[in-house]
Amino acid sequence: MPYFPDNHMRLSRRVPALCALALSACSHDGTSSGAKHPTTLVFTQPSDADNLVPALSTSEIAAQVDAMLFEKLAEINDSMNVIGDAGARPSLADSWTWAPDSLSIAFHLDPKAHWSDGVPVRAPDVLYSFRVNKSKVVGSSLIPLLADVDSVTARDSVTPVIWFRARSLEQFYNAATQVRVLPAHLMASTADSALQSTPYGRNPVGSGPYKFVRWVSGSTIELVADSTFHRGRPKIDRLIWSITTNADAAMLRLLSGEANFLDKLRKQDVDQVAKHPELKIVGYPSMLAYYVLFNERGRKGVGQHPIFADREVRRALSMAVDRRGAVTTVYDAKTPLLLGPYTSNLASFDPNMIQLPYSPDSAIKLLESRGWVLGKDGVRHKGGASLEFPMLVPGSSSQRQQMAVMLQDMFKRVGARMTIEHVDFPTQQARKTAHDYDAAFDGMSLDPTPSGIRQEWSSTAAKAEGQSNTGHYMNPAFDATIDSAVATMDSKAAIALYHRAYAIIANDAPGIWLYEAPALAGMSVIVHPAAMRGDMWWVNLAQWTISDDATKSGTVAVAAGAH
Amino acid sequence: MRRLLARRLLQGLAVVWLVGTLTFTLLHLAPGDAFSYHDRHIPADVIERWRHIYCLDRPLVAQYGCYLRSMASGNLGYSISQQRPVLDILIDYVPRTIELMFFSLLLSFVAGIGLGVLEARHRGGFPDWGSRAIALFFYSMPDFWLALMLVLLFAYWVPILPISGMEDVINGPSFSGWQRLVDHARHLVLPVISLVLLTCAAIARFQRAAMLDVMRMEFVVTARAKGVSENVISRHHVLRNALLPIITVAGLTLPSLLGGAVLVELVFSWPGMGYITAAAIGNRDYALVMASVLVSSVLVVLGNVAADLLYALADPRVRAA
Repeated sequence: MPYFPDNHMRLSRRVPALCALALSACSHDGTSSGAKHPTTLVFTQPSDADNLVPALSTSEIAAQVDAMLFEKLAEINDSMNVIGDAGARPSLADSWTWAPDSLSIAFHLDPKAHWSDGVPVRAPDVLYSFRVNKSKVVGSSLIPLLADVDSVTARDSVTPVIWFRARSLEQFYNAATQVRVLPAHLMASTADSALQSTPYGRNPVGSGPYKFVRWVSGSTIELVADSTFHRGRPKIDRLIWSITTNADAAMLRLLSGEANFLDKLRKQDVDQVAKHPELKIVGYPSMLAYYVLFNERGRKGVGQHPIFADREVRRALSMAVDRRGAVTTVYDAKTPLLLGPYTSNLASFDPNMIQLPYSPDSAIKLLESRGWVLGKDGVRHKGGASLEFPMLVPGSSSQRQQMAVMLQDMFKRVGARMTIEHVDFPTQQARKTAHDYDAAFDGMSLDPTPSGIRQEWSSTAAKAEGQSNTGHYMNPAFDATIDSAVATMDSKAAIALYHRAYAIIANDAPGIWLYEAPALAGMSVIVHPAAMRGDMWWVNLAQWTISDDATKSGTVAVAAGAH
Repeated sequence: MRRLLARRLLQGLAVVWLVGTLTFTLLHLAPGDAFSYHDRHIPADVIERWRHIYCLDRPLVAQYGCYLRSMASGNLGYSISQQRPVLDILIDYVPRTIELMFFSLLLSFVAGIGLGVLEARHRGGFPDWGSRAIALFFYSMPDFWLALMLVLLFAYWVPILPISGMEDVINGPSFSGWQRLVDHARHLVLPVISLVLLTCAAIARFQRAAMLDVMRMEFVVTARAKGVSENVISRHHVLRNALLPIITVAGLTLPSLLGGAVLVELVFSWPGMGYITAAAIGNRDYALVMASVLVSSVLVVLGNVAADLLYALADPRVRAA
């Protein structure tokens, strides 16, 4: 599995004034409880949090803050294995025991774990947290993952037991490593429907490695290390999320030294950061997949699409696209191609997956075999229909716009006319949900579970209105293979079944699989991140460090990652 | 006077209603709503329930009815993207924009009137055309571009002022009251300068023209013939009379200043109404957008009413009319 936490890029030019500012961002400011050189890490983020109650929050910044305030029962390992509990790390629970029939898991809570108000964390907190996360009134995004959790009981005050309706390879991941435990003594008296409005969401009390200090709307969220944390004090004294209005402003804060970490560098940012010797670039596993999605259903969801309902036409258009060429032009030759609706960082990834080849000649033959005849206008026609369609492209991404123009040219060579329709992100999502589109330059952020593919590509997800299979791809063979993979308790058999399902969907070409977006973070050279996970780079923040000797550490960082 | 006030307020109310209705219609014409791109893991029935709660599953007219009912009961609504009542959000953000606008307006008038007097007193000379050229240069600049240039200047070449935010996020909490005030003022400098450079040019032009008009009047000629010094004539005779038209300019400046503040806030990450409005539009957070527009239009209307009243107070002929 490709993993490159220390993939630093060589840095060049010196800007002494900015260097001084950057060092001041990692200030020694006297906030530590006993540390010799108290340290502050300032993240810059282009949007504010919505709510700091984990079951309610939907923003990424809230997820980052919540991860430092609230704990799960256990945590998956850094290679994101989600099958069984192999490699899972204790978190709130220091150990767990499986029932012989695998239909229940008893977790033993660390008796030293406590809320930041001093109250110990106990089984009722776990029971309350599961109930809240399963509640449809609350509407947590964990509801589908907890579908197989039947109930949660307390064997004693430190032993909650999770009972499952059915066994699956991902049951441990779904139950133990997803739900962040909430303080029942502070929240249980609030009705689920009133949870959003409770002041607790803006002034939370957690059990994690950091304690909440303040949240100034639109400006700052600040946490401080909890020296009494049951698994040991975190290494950085203070974490600050410095909120900006947009990605450009966030980038400017990193460059000016007002912040020392930005998690998502865009292509145009990378060159900028590389010019600053006081900054470095660190890559981490990407979970972002980009592809062209075909709408197989008719416009507005009526009937079948005149072009994309035909599997062979979709295959032909896929073969017309030089994916490597397009991706290398827009990004670089190292950017991995997407082999299907999954990235190379999933446990079920198959690097040997056979792909539809780039072959414009084969594409032309295939189109002609389906009755699409080239007209004098350079476009193919069949009956009264023309092989032309608009493609939704988000206006916010210059890379996707650039690539869309290249795709337009490639389609033209095989007699297909594609027009580009620039839309903003909410418009694209709304039109996809309403099936009011033909093709869309789409992207998705994957979770580490192989079974997650069902949410985007299964027939069930296509039939339910408002579900995420907006391309309306349906193949019973694919559904059956995925269902079998999910049902089996044999991990090797499951992986083999996933590979078979991937081959089916690759051949059906419900989309043109383009690339895995590079995940690059920009940070001050004195920041030393621990392993950054693809699904949540922030999960190990408590282990991150900031070095005292900026010059020395900067030199080491550049030398270690130079390429 | 009371009749004037009542008439102006009624007109203002109609303007606010019209602006609100237009915004509501345009906002709802764009595809999608606040739940269109919600987490894909949230079940569809949960989303549908939320849509129902927020009236989003009904026709446009019914949604407008919901909005009016909510407004009539004094409820500005609930922000879906920020998960809290809109009123709470406005309480956080509006004072920041008002603060930015207050200092910008104050400094714009001080600088604009000063420049106008300077230009009028040296009509045709270097201070006149030099000052007018510089003022025109800034006046013709797009506001966001001027703000970006200031960011470039103070981020790279002269890094003496903070380029974004409203406080030193690292040391701010440990500052004393006085230090905090200074820190806040330092963060305010660049956004205020951007707005002042954009607005003071127009004020200076108005002031110059008004000064020149008054300078031609007989009482000024008489004062000059009596041997009164130019300084005294400028200050006591010309400036006082030439300030009257500037009251009107204040009312006219407010909308452009507010529009400029939105963009300047975005460039300098000043967390005010510009910031929340832009974010709310992107999130299709109807209640928050509507409230922001409402507050902006009320501010503009009140500004104009205040200008009218001040003018009436200053000029008895207007009161009589």
